[in-house]
Amino acid sequence: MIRKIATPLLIIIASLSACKQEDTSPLPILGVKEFINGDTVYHKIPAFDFITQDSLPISNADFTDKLYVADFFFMSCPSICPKVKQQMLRIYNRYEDNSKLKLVSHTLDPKRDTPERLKMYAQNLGVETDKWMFLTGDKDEIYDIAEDYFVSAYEDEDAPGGLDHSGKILLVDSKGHIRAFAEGTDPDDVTVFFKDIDKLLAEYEWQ
Amino acid sequence: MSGSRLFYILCLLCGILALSNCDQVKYPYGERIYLRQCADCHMDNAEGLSSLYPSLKTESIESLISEMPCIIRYGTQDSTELIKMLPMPKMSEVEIANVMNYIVQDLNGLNQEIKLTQVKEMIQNCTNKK
Repeated sequence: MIRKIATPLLIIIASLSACKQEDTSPLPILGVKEFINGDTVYHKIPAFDFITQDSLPISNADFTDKLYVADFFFMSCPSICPKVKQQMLRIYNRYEDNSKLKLVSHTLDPKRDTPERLKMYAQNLGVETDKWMFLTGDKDEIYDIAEDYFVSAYEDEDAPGGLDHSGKILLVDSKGHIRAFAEGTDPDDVTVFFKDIDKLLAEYEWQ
Repeated sequence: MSGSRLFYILCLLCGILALSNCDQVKYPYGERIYLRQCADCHMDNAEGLSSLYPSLKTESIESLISEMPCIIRYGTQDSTELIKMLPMPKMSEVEIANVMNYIVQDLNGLNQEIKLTQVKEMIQNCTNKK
């Protein structure tokens, strides 16, 4: 009798613990994989040069020992941007004391969103440090890199504010690989995203 | 059916009715307009975002009532604010009255009804100035 119950019970326990094990596996590297000369080449954010809200140059080299979350927006955006910014602010507040995590917001409207105005934007949001960078730069470079972040962005006269773009928030590791993302307009999705960030921060601390 | 049982059932029905009314807003049409037209910037809970997008749950809401119809229709384009509110020329006066009542009464709990004639008058006034 006991044996009869024990076998299915063991199977259930085993499968439950397997579920748990999957949870501790590292975050995947997102994007299209390529196979070159037998090596697997993962998608990564290409080299970039932008300007911060403090008018300082910033490049991918400044992130080699950091993780960051990124989003795209523009200041006059009347549609999804404010809600995505509210979620970015949640992330900023939650990890304020963790120097390994940075936040990067790219403007899609470099003509109007100058470093000076981005600085005012950051201050109005309550951001006084360079933990959260608001970046501008060459328009083509911004739109090209948006694609590398899987963010579709294009100018559209019919869209609110004249620009159409998605509200993703992406998590990037120190090698430039995208490891997770959240829908920036959905607070519940961002709550789940916190776990991804925690996991990657833990992974980083082992290195 | 005995009287006491009937009373019991009536009480139960009242209770259910009272509970189902808990979540109900006075101005559901205003709420719909709010969520569609205003919540993107002022947020679903109307608390805004830092100093960028002002909270609409505020003690000064009463003093803002007379300006609200014109701000909704014409935006805040003339102001010195970093982020200007866009005009909403397509929002009708009936819609403006409903969304204002939702903001003033449902969100801020003020017992002050904004009437359509008031809204029309306020818009007339600022349109003449333009």
